[in-house]
Amino acid sequence: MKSLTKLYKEYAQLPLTDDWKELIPTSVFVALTKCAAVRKNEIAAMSKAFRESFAKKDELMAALREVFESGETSIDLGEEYDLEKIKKLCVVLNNNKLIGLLTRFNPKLSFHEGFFSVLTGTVDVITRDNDVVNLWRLSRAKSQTETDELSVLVYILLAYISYSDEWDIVFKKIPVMVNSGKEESWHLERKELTEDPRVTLKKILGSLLKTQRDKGKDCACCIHAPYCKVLTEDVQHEAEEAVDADM
Amino acid sequence: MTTKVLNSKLAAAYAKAGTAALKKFGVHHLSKSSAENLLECANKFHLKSLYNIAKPQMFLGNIVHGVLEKAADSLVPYSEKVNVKTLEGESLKKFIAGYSDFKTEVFSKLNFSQLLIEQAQDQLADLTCGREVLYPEGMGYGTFAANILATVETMTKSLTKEHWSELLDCPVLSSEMPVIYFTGSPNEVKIPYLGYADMLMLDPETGKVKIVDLKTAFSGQSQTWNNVGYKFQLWLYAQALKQMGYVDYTVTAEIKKVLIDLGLKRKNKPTTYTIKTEVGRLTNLDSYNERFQHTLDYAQRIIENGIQVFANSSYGCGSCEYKDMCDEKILNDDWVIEGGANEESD
Repeated sequence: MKSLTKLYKEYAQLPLTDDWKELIPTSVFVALTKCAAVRKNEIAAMSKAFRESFAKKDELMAALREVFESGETSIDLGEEYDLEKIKKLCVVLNNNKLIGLLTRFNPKLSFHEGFFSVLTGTVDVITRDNDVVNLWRLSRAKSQTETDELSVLVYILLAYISYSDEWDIVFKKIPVMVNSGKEESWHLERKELTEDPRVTLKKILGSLLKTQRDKGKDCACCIHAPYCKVLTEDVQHEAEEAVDADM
Repeated sequence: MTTKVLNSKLAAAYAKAGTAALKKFGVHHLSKSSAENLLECANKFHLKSLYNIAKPQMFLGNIVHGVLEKAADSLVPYSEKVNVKTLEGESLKKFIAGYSDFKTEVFSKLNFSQLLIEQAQDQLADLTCGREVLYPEGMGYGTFAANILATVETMTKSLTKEHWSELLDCPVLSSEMPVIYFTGSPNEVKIPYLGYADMLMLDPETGKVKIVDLKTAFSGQSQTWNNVGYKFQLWLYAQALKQMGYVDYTVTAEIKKVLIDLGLKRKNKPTTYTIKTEVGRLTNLDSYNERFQHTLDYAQRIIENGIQVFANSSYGCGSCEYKDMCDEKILNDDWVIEGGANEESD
């Protein structure tokens, strides 16, 4: 498991300014994107295309919910999926159902200040075991993709706001397609937080204001890739299937 | 629910007002129910955007709404053939009589049972994508969907064409029409209101437009008509229609209630449900101008000043759909009760 302590400290030591206010309301995906088209919401406005490209993800989530509700470990998915990897999550879901532990599908993490929504982010599944809350990301990338650890840190900090009791938070990424790489996990223990996670998130958002962005960046990880006009007009390669859900 | 679109000028004005309100206050727009939530509990106001609530009776009501919308849409073409504003006296009578024949013909081609089932399937499919869903305790998607489909199956045997015809008794001008209301003057940044009027119909006696809202209840009991929220909603939509230029007068309003007794207290499940309908009319919505303008001002001030009240519902937090997600809830499990079970005298 990889530790995010060093990355966390880099941002926690920054001074807090008001820069974060320029970005809100925003989502983890839009805030961290390196693509100017996504940041300017040029692509996200195509909600129908977005929904259609998400249909595959919905099938996967429906299959997992069925596993959770039925108590069965076998899962009904196409042969393009690596069922051995998914089965591990199925075992967790069955166990949680038996014991009655926290299990959530498509949960949206968020924080707001007064009536202002600051940041939202959706993960695929949240489960609890013992004293740890696990955030699961099921990646449908066709090959191993590099995960932006800053986005993982942001999700963990968001989860620390939502789960303010004593549990630690762990982020787990499972590439669910066949031959798409290995599972990874990251953690940042609660005892390592030196300030309110809201403050650190504001510092991170403020720092992102200055991030250089061009169009057609990080397309392999972009949920808008299947219908992005920037991709087909400016960047001459095939669109990858949508991965890393964030809404 | 089908979403009809605004005309481009109104859509642009709404987008501009909403964007300005979002930047200044953090809230893009309000609806009748989000305004109610705001005054009841800020957490409920926030949590509503994060979750989809799968409450059986609400879900069934949406299914009935969906079918009514489809049926209403198929009747709208009748009213589009004439300029209804010019109808009066004999021309109005003839128009109303013609509507009855038109409706009979349209209804002969509609299979309401099939529409009910299709609506149920579509809405259940919508639950499988998008926001996290909160199901009733002990239920997941599978059991919820099975219960809904079984209930809808019985509803197909209970709701007859006559019931639908009664709901659509007057010429339909539009269904699920988006209505926008801008509070304040054009130079001010104020939060706009957005709603969807179930139906606009032509009143056969006056030849004027009326708003018709459908409510469903599933206990078979006639519910109180003292719900201020109903009046606020109808008043707001009436003001919006005038402001939008759809009419130059304050319309009247009706609520049509469909009461479907699911027989939940019976030992054996009924094979058909008892259906009753009620109609309530409001003919002088302008009498609420001062009262509900205060509500709009109050909601605006709450948001402008960042005032958040929590757990402020007179029904308490125990029946709130979001109670399991809420840190601010106040439950009543800390009462120590002594003495008999007499009602409080005051």
